[in-house]
Amino acid sequence: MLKDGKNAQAFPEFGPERRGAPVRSYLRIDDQPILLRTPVTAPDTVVVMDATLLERRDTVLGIKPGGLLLVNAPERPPVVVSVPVRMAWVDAMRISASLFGKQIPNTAMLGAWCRVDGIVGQAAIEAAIREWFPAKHAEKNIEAARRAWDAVEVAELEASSASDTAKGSSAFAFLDDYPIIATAFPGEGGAGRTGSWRISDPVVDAQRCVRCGRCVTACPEGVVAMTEDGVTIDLTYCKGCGICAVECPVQAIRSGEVGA
Amino acid sequence: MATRETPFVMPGNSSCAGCGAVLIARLVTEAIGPNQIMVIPACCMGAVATSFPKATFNVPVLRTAFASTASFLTGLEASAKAKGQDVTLVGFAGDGATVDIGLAALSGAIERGHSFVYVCYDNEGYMNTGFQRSGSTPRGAQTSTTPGGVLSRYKTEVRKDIAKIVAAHGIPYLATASPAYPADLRRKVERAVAVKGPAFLHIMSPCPLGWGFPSAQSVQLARTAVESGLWKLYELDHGVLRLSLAPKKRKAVREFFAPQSRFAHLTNDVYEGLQAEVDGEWATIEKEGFSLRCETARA
Ligand SMILES: Cc1ncc(C[n+]2csc(CCOP(=O)(O)OP(=O)(O)O)c2C)c(N)n1
Ligand code: SF4
Ligand code: SF4
Ligand code: SF4
Ligand SMILES: [Mg+2]
Repeated sequence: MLKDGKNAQAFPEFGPERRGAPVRSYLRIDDQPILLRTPVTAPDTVVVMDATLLERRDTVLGIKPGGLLLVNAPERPPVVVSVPVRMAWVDAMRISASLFGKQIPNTAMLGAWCRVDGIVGQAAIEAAIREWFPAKHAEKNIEAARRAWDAVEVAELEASSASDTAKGSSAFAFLDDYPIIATAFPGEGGAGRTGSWRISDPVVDAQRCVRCGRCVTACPEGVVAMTEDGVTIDLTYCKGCGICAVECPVQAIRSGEVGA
Repeated sequence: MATRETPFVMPGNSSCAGCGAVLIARLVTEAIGPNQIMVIPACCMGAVATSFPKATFNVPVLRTAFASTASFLTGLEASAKAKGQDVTLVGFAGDGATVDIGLAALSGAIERGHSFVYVCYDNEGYMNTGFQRSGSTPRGAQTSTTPGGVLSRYKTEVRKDIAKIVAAHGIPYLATASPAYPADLRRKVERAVAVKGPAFLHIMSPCPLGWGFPSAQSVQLARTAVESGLWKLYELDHGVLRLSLAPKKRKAVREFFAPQSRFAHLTNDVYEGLQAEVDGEWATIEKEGFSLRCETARA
């Protein structure tokens, strides 16, 4: 932004600073100096770094009619909005996994946003990446941005019917479902389907497995179970940490390609 | 409430992949069973406990302010007594919440003799807010507030030994544990539940993000800490001190430090010094038996 002669302001909302925790942060861009210091409540653009966040109704809340919704998703995500928006999506996870071997979709998302929003030029983005990253990482990140620039897809999205969106009309509307405020009830998938975090899948070799149960005890998520048929892993939530493979005394678990 | 069919820790929670703390939370809650109330202050596990409107732990949880875990346990005990309810009260708190900001409340609650199990999962820093140093961060570690470089020499201060501080209260039951030794951990949790009065568990909690190592090695690293003689597994049961495990052939301490980016700057000299310290401690243990006087180097 600054490279294109604009004023910019970026800040996160107070909250956990860990991988996996949902984080919300804001960006304002203007030709004039920005004096406002409050969160953005009616954004022109919403960038969603993890498609599972779309299950929270407050994620796209407040977006302006005709605004832009950019989602990190392998395919067109199912989205319910109360106003018509332009939706774009790109598989930034795959781009980052293939380039970095890790899930750091940020620069890919930047490239996609640059293309579909058009506020900032591609040259300015690439110059900023070169300035921010040490030389050995810069080129790969620019490549990530370019691949996303090429791959991003766009569709116009109609407003959904009133009944679908009624509950999304206020950030706290979902509280209607709960009798007491500030009480949460046990449920799986509080952070979404965390299986999407994996960059490799644990694959069990049933022939080799001696049914010692160590993987069941060592899995932090508790998603490994011992059944009559042997060891099974719930891939909906397995985060792919790889502990089970390291702990198996007979190397019956290996890490394989995601979804293979 | 949790049963055999529904897990104590719900999958799909917000802990990082390979988090030692959530593994400890699962092992501890499973060992205690459904009849428990957890008290969790601000810390990673506090954040993991709720992704509103969903909760992660399948037992009642009270989330408290950073300093107040032991105060809440005190109040809950009074309330359970008044209601004639027999329930295990479990404090589950990070090192920052225990050795730093919550220490006064913890000290008071132990001294007054309330009945609870206090678990400190020690990831050696303020991880939830971005890996700042705590009183339990070992000497030499790089954190975001002890970054190293021209003006900072990483963490220069010696870590507080919370287990010894707690032991000085004459607590009925105290133990150290590790997620790499789940059977030992489970036995200690069961003992902590059974004793009357306060019980304290100090559990090493590897943190792939804050310590900088691949998530797959979390449990392995906790095991190496024990096998190298750095993290001692012991218990103090009504004044009787017992070492739970004495590694027969100790691994080099380097094997614990080297995989972690927070120790990437350690030089051979430092390693030699640390190895000599740990060797010295174990020589004393072998000669005089284990006592809480044996210095814990842990970097
Ligand atoms: C009084 C107060 N100060 C600061 C904070 C911000 N804060 C929340 S969690 C946290 C770090 C907790 O560290 P620790 O207890 O070691 O748990 P961890 O996050 O490492 O699991 C801090 C500083 C707070 N919530 N309350
Ligand atoms: S990879 Fe990690 S989360 Fe997945 S099953 Fe293995 S231990 Fe559990
Ligand atoms: S640790 Fe390995 S051998 Fe043991 S049950 Fe799991 S897969 Fe089977
Ligand atoms: S930052 Fe460390 S302790 Fe906190 S959730 Fe992540 S791995 Fe666990
Ligand atoms: Mg901590």
